[in-house]
Amino acid sequence: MKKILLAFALFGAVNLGAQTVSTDFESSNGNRGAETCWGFGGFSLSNSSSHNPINGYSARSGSLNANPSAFWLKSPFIIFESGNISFNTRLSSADGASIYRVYIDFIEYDENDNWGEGSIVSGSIFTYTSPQNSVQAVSVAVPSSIVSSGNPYKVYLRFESEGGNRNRRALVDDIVIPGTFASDPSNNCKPITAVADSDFDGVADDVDLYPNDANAVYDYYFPAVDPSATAPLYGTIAYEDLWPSKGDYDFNDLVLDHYTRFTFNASSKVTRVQFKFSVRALGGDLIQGFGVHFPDIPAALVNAVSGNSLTTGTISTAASGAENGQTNAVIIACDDVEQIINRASGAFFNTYSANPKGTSDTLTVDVSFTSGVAIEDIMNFSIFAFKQRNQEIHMVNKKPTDLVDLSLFGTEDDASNPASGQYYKTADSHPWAIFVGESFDYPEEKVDIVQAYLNFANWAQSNGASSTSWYKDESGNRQQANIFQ
Amino acid sequence: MQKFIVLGFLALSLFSCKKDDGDSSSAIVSNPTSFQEITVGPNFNWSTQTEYSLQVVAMKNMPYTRSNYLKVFDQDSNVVFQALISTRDNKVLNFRAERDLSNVTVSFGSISKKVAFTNNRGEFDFIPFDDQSDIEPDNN
Repeated sequence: MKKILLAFALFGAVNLGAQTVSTDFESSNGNRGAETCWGFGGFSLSNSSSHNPINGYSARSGSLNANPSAFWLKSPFIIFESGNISFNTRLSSADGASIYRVYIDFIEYDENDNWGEGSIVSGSIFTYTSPQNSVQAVSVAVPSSIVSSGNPYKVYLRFESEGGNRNRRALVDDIVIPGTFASDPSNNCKPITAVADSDFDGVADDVDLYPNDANAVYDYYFPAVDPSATAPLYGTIAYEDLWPSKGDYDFNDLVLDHYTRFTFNASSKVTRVQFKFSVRALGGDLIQGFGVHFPDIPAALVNAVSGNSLTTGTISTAASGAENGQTNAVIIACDDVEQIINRASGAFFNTYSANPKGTSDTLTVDVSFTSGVAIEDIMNFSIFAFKQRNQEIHMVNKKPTDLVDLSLFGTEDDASNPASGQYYKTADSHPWAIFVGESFDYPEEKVDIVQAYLNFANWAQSNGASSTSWYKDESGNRQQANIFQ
Repeated sequence: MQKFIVLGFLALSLFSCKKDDGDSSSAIVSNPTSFQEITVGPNFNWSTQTEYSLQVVAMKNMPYTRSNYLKVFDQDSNVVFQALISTRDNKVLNFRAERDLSNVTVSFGSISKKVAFTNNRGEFDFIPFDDQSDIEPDNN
């Protein structure tokens, strides 16, 4: 049996007092798509005086012919009430040589059809009276069987010229149907169905990814996820490790792939975040670990942290798992990178192509909050690397945490100006970390990134406006021998 | 007096150094061969991504509210942003994505439309695309 009976249950919930479904085609300004879930077959919307509209905009057919399926109008799915379907209509000009009709039928719901349309149920036939170009007020009763069924139907108006094409068009306006609108425009205009809300969070189970968890409704993956939402895509942060001094700009001293999954509640607030990390390269021995700083979220808002790798005993955490001594939330994901990589050769981990390749564990760090957090307050997070715990390396202009040694700012090549929110940049605005929105093929050890990526410099010098795909494996982008293989 | 002369020379020397530094940093090398030669603006963020803003225009002519997922697809059909929204509300959605996100597909359930971003701003409404291929030309 079809699920249409479920629509009954929702009927009360969506009935805002309107007992009719109607259109006079005015609010859509001639855009048929704006007539929500109305269907048009060979009908346009016109208010041109040359088309003799009935009143403002009206629906105007092509030249009617003997095929009644050539020109039609369909209503949205409606839960009918008893009463009459009414509309105004006329022909573009009178024609005594043919008979013109309107078939006023109904379409059943079929859950297996892409548009939910099943069999046609015959209703009434209206025949235009002479003169046919005068407005004809049509009014026909809804069959009692349709009213009593409680099922959703569409009204299906079809127009016919018995004598074939005689260059007469139909004009239709002011359609009024007794009943309640029951189409879902986000589901091919199929009938609304009553869906359970198992966790009572106000979000129906059909759009609730976590139907039994009142603190979670859906996920958003950064930087991206495949269309089926099953394979998140990684981005890369690539670090130079000599801060506050400049480095060799091979951006492989730590190459950290990661993606972030934000889980939202019914109020569109983030209740938990999951980070996945994988260390692709470690081209030095200065960087010890990495973490995440949420500069706009108080540390006390962290409820729990799990999955991080803390093995050195040097990181002090609260019961929640957030790092102690911080005003705002800081999660140390890993305090000893060596614990999550598996070296296959010497000091340089995956930065010399000729050396055996090492592997990295995937670190999954889950963070939950005591209450929902606005996404705007979370997206400003910074994934940072650290040498000693008080020496952090962030992307340009990302704030350091409370545990850094502030005296290092402004020393060596660092030209940070904390008073103006300027951090981790040289006097030339050069960075110690770059972000690429996909898994990045980083340069070979000691190869300047400009020598590996031939359009990188153009991208940077245009401040990101040109050569936006400089990192992709496209013609002219790469000096392949200078990229770690 | 001697002290003033010495101080004067020192000051001149300092200004000279600053001028040289300024000249070298502001000269843009057209084809840099090293990172050090790159010149960027003071606010460049060194990320391949940038901020986008999508204005969602509410659906006015529905007698009830429907909630569903608005998804933004990039040129590779990957989802770069999604949010649960209702048809009732005008809304501005901000998200980060790659800088070359010019023409994207935005969907809301079965409604799917191309949205052009100009200056990183785009607009989406719930009105489905109408190809109008079924409409007879106006010749009578």
